[in-house]
Amino acid sequence: MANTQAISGTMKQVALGAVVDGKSLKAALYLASATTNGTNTVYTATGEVSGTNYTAGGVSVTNANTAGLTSTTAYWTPSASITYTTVTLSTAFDAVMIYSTTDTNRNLGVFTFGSQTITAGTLTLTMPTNDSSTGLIRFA
Amino acid sequence: MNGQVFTTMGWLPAEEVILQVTVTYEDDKAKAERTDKYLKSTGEWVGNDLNVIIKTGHEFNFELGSFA
Repeated sequence: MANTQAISGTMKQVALGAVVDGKSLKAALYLASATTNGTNTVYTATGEVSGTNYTAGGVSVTNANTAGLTSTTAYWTPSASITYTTVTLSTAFDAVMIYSTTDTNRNLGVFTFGSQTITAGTLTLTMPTNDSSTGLIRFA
Repeated sequence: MNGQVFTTMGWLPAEEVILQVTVTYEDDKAKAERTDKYLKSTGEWVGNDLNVIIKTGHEFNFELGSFA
C-alpha cells in the first residue's frame, strides 16, 4: 500500500453545497447571438431573450436537492425540469444561465443546447440524472 | 391544461391538433426535441413546443498542487 495525494470528496461536497444548498435559483435564456459564458459573474440582461410570456430574469428553479457525493465526486442537479409555459421566443436562443438570487445573482453555470425558436408553446429543460456521472454540476 | 394544447389560436382541444416531433439538435451533452403543432382540419401550423433534454452537465476538475 502507498499513500495517495488527493483533494477529499468531502471538501468538494462542502464547496459545491456552499453555492447550491438551500439557495433560491433562477434560469434565464440567452439569444444564440449573445456571448454569455463562465466569465459572467452574475446574471445579466445583456443578450437575454424577450418575447410573449417571458419575464426578464427567467423562471424559478426547483431546488430540493443538496450537493451529493459518490466516492470523490460531488454533484448537484435541480430537482425538477425547468419550464417556460405558453411562450413565443422568435429570435433564436441556445443557452440557459442558472443563477442564485440568494447570492446577489451569482452565475452558477451556462448550458447550451443548439439554436431554437418557439411559438405559442412550452419550453421544457429536462434535467439529467442527479449522480456523479451526469449531474448538472459536478466537482471531480 | 388537461386535454388542451396551447397554440397561436389559444387553447384548443387536443383532438383538434396534430403533433409532429423532430430532433433539432443533439450532441453528447443535450438533445432538443421540437414538437410542431398543426390544425387537424386545415393543416395550418399553429406553433411548436420544445423539450431540451440535458444529458450531462458540467464537470469541474479540482487539481492538487504539490510541495516544491
